[in-house]
Amino acid sequence: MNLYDKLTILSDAAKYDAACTSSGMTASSKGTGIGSSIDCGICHTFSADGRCVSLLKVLMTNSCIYDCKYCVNRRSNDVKRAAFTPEELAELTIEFYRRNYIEGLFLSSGILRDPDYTCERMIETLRILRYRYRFYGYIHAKAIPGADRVLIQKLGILADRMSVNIELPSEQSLSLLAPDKTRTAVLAPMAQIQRGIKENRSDLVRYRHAPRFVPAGQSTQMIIGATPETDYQILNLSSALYQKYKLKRVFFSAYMPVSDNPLLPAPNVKPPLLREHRLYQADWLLRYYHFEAKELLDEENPFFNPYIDPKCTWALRHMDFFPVEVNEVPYETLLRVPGIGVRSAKRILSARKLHSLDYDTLKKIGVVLKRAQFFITCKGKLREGLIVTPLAAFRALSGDDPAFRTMGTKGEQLSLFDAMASSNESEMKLCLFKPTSPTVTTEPTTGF
Amino acid sequence: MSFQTNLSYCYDGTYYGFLSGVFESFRAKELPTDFFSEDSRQFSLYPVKWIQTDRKKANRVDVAVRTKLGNYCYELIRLGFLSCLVNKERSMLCFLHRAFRDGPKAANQIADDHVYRLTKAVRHLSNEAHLLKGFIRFSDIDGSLCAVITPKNHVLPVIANHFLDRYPNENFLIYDQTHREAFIYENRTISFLKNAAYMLPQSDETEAFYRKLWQNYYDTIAIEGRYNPRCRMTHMPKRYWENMTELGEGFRKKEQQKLKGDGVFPALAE
Ligand code: SF4
Repeated sequence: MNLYDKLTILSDAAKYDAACTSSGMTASSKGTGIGSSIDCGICHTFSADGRCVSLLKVLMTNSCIYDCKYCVNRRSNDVKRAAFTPEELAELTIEFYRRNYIEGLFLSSGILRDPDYTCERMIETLRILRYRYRFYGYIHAKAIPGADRVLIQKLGILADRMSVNIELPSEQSLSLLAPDKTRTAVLAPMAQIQRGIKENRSDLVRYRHAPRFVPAGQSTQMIIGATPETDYQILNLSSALYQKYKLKRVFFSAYMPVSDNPLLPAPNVKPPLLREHRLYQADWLLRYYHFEAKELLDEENPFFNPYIDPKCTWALRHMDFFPVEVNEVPYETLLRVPGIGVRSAKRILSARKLHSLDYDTLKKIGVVLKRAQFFITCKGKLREGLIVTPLAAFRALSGDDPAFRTMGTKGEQLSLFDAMASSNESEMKLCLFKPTSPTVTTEPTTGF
Repeated sequence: MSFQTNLSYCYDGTYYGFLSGVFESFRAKELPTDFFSEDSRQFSLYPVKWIQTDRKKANRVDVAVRTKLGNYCYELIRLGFLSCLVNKERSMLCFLHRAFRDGPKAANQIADDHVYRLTKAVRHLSNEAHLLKGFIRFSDIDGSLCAVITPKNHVLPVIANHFLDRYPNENFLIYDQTHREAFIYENRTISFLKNAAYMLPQSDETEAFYRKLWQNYYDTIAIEGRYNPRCRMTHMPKRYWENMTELGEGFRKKEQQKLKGDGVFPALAE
C-alpha cells in the first residue's frame, strides 16, 4: 500500500479523537536540529468543520485486537487496515513540519499484536524523530493501557504531552461497551505518568540536565452522548480527574455513531455537538473563572440548558448578585458578568486605575456591552434607557448565543434536552428562575 | 495642540526617516498637518517639508522612546510603524507629543483618538502576524524553503524570529507580495530586501507529492457530521486562503488540471 492511501486510512481513523491542543510550553532547538514549540497555540489551518488543526494526528495502525463497541477500529468492524512503519511516519512528520503544515505530531494507535509491541513501535517513531532528525517540535503520544511500565516511561521521555483516554464517563458504561478494558487499567498509566511528572520536577531541581518527562503534562478524553451519564456526573468526574491526576485538560468528544449496536445511539442520530460545547464552556468556567461544579449544576438540574450558556444561566439564577459596579468590584466578580471574559476583565482592571470608567470607555477598550449591560453599573448608574428585568435580560441572552445559532438550528437532537426544557419560553423561564433550593449535595459517584 | 502648523512632512518611508521627522517636529516645535512617505504619492494642500533621514537624530529619538516612555509605548511605535493604519505617521507623531508630555501612562489614554487608533492598528497587526505564523506555507525548492504571503500589515519583521527558531538549519525565504519585501535566511545569515520581486517556481515531483498528501489529509480530517463553514471562516478569513496549499485555488487548480491532463489528453493522443 502506498503512503497516500495509508495516510488517508490512518488519519481518517484518528480524526474522531477531539484532543488537539498544541504546546502550552516553550522549547527550542537552540540552533541545532529542527523545530521549536512556542507557548501560545498556533493553528495551521481550520478544517471544514471549523476545528483548529495544529498537529498531524494519525494512528500508528488501525488494526486492533480489541473490540470496543463505540470505536471504528474495533476488531469486528469491516474496514480497510493499514500501518505506518516508524521510518515512514517520522519522515512524513518532518516533511510536513518543514512546510509549516503542522506544529507537531499527535500519535495514537490501535493495539497491534499486544500493547507492548504497539508501544514499542510508537517509541521507535519518536526516537527517530528526536534523535535522527533532531526534531524539537511538539509531540503528543497516547499511552497504551496495558503496556509495560518501562515502555510508558520511555514514551514519556520522548513526548511533550501524554494522554490516556478514560473513554466513557462511568465504569458501568465502560464494562458494557469495552469489555476488554477496565477503569483500573486506564487509570494505572495515568497515575504512573502523574508520578513521573512529579518526580521529574524534583529531579530537574537537583540535576539541571535530567531528561524531561512529559513536560507539557497529561490530558484525557471521554466520549459524550454514547452512554446515559448526565452533564452533572460528567462535570464532577472531570473535576475529580483534574484534582487527582493534575491533568492539563479533559477533552469531551461528541459521539459520532459508528455502529448499529443496540447499546449505542443509532447511526442516524446526530452527534450532540451543542452538549459537547456546553461542557467545554463549563470546563472553562471551572478552570479560569473560579466557578465550582456545584454552582452550575445539581442533582435536580443535571443537564445544561441548550439555549443559554452555563455562565448566563448562573447569572440569571442569581439576579440578586447583580448589578455590580465595574469601577469597584474585584477581578473574580467581573468574571461572573455575562459578556465579560478574562481579556475584558483584565482590560477593565488596567483602565480603571487611570480614571473611572463610563459606558463609552468600556466600549472603547473593547468590552461588548450587549450582554454585560444588564449586570453592571458604571459610577453607580445603569446604562441610560435600559430597563433591567429578568425577562429582558433573559431575552437578550438567549437570542444571542452564537453556538446555539450555528449548531442548534440544524435540528440537532434537541430532543435529548426536552426533558428539562422545551422551546416554550415560559417553561424555560420557570426552570431558570426557580429559586435555588438550598443545595443538598450528595457526592455523586465518580468511580473513585 | 497649539503649535499645529499648515505644513506637511514627506520622508523616505524608512523607520529612521520617520524618526528623523519626529526629531524635526520636536526641534521646530511644529506639528505638521500631514506626514507621509514619498512613495505613498499623497497629495497635500500644504507646503511640503522634505525630511532628510539622519541616523544619529533618529537614534536619539529611538533611545528616548525606549528609556523614557517604557516598553509598551515603544512597542506601540515600533509596531505601529509596521501597521497598515492610514496616516499612521501622524497618529504616532501626535501620540509621541502627548507621551513625552504625560509619560508612559499616555498609552493607556484609550479615550484619546490617536491612542485608540494606534492600539487598534497594533492589535490588528499582531493578530495578523500570529495567524500567519500558522498559515504560511513553504515549498521545498531545490532544498530551500520558499513562501509567499499577501498580508495587509508589514508582518515580516514580526514573524521572522519565529521562523528562525523553527528552522535554524534550513535556508528559507518569505516573500511579502503586498509590500514587495523579502526576508531571506541563507547559510545562517539574515537579509531583508525592499522592492523585491519573486514568484514561486514550478514545483518538482517530491514537492507536488507532499502537497497532495497534505491536501488529502486536510480533506480527510473534516468530520461531515460537524461541517461548519461559518466557523472555519471566522477563524481563517478567506483572504489568507490563496497562499495555502490545502485551500488556495492556484494550488488546487493545478492539481485538477493535472488530473484532467492525465485523463483527457492521453486519450486524444492514442
Ligand atoms: S483499543 Fe482503542 S483502537 Fe482498539 S477498539 Fe478499543 S478504542 Fe478502538
